[in-house]
Amino acid sequence: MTTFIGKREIPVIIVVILSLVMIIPFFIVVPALNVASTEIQRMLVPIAGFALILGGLNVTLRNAMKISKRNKGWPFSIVLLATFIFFLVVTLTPGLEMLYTTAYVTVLGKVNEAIMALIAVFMATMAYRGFKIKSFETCLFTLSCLIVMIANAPIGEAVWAGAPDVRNWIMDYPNMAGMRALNIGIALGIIAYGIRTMLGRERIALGDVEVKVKKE
Amino acid sequence: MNLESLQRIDSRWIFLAFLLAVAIPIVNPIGLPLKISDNTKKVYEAVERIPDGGVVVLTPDFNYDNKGELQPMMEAFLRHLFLKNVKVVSVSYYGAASPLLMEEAMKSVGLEAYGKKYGVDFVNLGYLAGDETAVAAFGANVHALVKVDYYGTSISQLPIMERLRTAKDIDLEISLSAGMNYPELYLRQWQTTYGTKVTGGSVGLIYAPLIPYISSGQLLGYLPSMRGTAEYELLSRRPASAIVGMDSQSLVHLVFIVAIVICNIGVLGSYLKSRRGGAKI
Amino acid sequence: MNLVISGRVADFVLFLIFCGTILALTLQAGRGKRFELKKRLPALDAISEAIGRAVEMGRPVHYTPGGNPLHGVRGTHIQMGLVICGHVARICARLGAKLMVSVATAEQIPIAEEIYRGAFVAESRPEVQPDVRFYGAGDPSFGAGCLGTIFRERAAVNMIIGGSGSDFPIVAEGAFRAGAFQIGGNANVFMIPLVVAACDYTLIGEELFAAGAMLSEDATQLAGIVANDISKVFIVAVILLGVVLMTAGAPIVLQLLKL
Repeated sequence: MTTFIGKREIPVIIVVILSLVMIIPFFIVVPALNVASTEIQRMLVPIAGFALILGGLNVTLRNAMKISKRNKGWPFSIVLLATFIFFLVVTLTPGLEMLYTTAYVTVLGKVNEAIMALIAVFMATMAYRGFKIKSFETCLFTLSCLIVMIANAPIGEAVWAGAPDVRNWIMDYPNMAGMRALNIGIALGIIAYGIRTMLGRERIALGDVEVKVKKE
Repeated sequence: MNLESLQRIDSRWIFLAFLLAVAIPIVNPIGLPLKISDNTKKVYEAVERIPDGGVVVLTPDFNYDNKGELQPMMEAFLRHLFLKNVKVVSVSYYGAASPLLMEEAMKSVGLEAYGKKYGVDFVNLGYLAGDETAVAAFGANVHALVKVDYYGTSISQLPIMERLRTAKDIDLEISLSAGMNYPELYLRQWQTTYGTKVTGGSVGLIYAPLIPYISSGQLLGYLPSMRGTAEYELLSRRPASAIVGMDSQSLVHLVFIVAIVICNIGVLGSYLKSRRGGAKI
Repeated sequence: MNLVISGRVADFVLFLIFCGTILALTLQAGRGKRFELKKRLPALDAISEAIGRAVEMGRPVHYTPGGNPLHGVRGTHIQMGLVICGHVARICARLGAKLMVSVATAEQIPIAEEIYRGAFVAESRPEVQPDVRFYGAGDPSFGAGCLGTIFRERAAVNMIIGGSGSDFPIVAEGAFRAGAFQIGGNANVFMIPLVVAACDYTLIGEELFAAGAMLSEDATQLAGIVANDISKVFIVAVILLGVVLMTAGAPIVLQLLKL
């Protein structure tokens, strides 16, 4: 006996119903849908939290397998699992909030700050090798960058009083035009993606990851 | 001299120049003048115009990664807000570290110094998972979504929460964001639906794409990174850590500019060499 | 009583026009109509060249769809990155290159592994186990993890195509210092200048969506890209009309858009 609704259709039906319930009240006055939309938004918040649990289980299983099979980098998996278990216990046990805060702030927080500090330094070397004037477009690119950097620093304003005005013109006209054009294109791409998902044609969203690629 | 070689300077010289540019002004401040931009004035006026007894929602949407840029901004906003008779509700949709950063900011600013009381004038609701869904749900019905504050106290015991039921009750949303989509979340879910006013500040990286929203008036100004914070501190007459960093920022920008110019001299060298058929200059 | 909320009538009409265009072409594609994208993307052509270079040097290829999560608006960028990952995996399998894939969130791991495995099986190399590495969802941890991988394994090619945030400068600059050839793709507007400055070939903005569609040759994806182009022509026409009328002193278009 063939089933009318298979495993691909159920998630699509859920997506279509939820999408319409969320989108329609934004434009059209339908009091019942407004209430439904609010309730669905409220229900989705704990579901998002549940996804964190699934992610945690996934990571634990994979790293446990890596340790048991002694795959490359398995000692790091021990560190990962130990840290994971530590934070799990500390978060869930009442009375250990200070330990959680201390561990987070003094270890994870500081490590994150240190790595992000690399960005500033790497940006300098990226600017050094990336802003080369080899064509008209790269000339505009580099000049805009130089003017904005001069204007943003107090020393630049002290040297060239007109720098902020030129910077403001660059930011308010060509930059804004480019950003708006990019935003429109990307937004349309996302709408198209949403419609494909609602029609059940978006494979990865449905977990069908067999990607057909062009033969070269 | 082989100009072409200027394109291949060892990166470690740039790292050293960067380190000196950051460190020297901290030890020996230069004290360069700072001009306040119209954008910062817009943000300041947006905060000044909050009515007496108004509700401000401050969303610290950043992590320890961006603490250096946004923590001074958050403290500057808190100092300004605590000088006024407004209620401040802090909630984050970014990550679990954001409430910790708010706690640190509160310790630095000090509620008691301004005669304020937790639960009456300020509350920390912690982190709500769910991204845009959580923002939308919060805007629709706060009490249905949030039952306790960050410390586990029921919100029914916190007088400040009586004033906040939906996003319509928010007089100003101040978004401190490390991710570009965060201000957009509040614009989409609160401003478009409930007319909530939005302002705030962000890391320098995501400031440029937000300019269309500032120019259209959807954002009531937006502070760009430490420069914006320094201007805000000057405007509110409460200089703090951001102003100290401005001299370093000036020198660091100089390092960037000199590096770019040196590299392009090298490019010019390559071009001239190819024109002259390989002769050394 | 108005059916459509006041102030959102124009938004609603535009929404119906854009969705209608995309829907119409997608349904036509479903019924067998073929759409073709004429524009070539140099970054896609560079992928084969880069992987060939890696095979000659005997060094691996590193690919990451970026440090953004799989949900939300930026999740679509990551999904396009994963589609392109399938293409890259297929070429690596064909040319005999070692591929390492780094992902930022736990839910991407099974998807990336299936894509990797599927690509190698399709090229008759089922013995190759997927090398998918998970480095955590935060930009610092993900960036540091990818940086370490690229340096330790001495990757010859680094591809960051999808949705990256602050992890991008760390990974890109680190890969440059390791001597890797770089192909970058990002639809986050604030990252585009960095991608252009750091990478040898780039896919920016909606080129990412177009690349995913071109590589998969999925009719509905191609139809979506064509529909987007039609929508953009419509938007440009409205803008031009509005500018001309405003200049002539008639703000009709502006008033209509505020309805």
